[in-house]
Amino acid sequence: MGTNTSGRATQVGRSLGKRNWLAFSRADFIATEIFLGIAVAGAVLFGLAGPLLDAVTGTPLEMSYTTAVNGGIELPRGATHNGKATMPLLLNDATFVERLGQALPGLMVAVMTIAIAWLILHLLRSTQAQEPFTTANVKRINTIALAIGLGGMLWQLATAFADNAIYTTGRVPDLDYLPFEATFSPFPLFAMFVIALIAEAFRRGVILRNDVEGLV
Amino acid sequence: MPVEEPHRVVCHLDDLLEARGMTLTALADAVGVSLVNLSIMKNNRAKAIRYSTLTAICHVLGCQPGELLSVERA
Repeated sequence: MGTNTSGRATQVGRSLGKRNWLAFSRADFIATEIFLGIAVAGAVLFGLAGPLLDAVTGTPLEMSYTTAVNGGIELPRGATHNGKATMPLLLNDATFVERLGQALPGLMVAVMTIAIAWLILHLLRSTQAQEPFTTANVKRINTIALAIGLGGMLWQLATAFADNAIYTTGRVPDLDYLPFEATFSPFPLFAMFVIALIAEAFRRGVILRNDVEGLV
Repeated sequence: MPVEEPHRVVCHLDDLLEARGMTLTALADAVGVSLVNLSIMKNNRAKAIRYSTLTAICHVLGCQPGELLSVERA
């Protein structure tokens, strides 16, 4: 008679390895690390290096704006254009402040991406080391939630203000454009709540782990 | 006494093993619990014990839980 605790754990591990195809394998860890590397490289390239290179080489500043031209354009067979039109806008002589204003939201995303990638990397490492339920990981997941939620909303605001700063300089033709144009997506806030829920699950995991620590 | 305070449970595994001329390794083999876990228990570093582990140890050593564990006076 006996209580083969280690044997039971091995059995569970084996069944997970054999039957649970969604279990995170070593290859998955490596793939996630590669994706994180690509995300960081992309953030640096498009958020930092791209705008800097454009400014140095004098590449026209590219953006778009939405006119309030709403319908009224007749098309063949009884159809009409409907809705607002988004027009591409190229600023050939963009000032430093205009470039900076347009680059700031991207830079913000780049910094956020690097920070989040760094936190996810630590989460990965601790999970690989069989120690996912730690207070540090709870803080990491909460930080990711806040960065995505508040950072995402801040990014949308920064983009709207940077774009409108250019629209109001008189560069945009008077096509009855909107006085302040902004598109807000609630997705960052939704993502924040979902990730915060995962953080809460981890927090409860930490409590459970502390409870069974020293259990024989 | 609040449960947050450290426990005062003392394990007498050493004495029971000595009385039976048994080693910890032999007990670990007989019970099916790892040597590390039994060592933790023997050195009073365990914080909790499963009923199944307690049953198995008592079965192998032929003792009662009260002989294996006692609570020190405060």
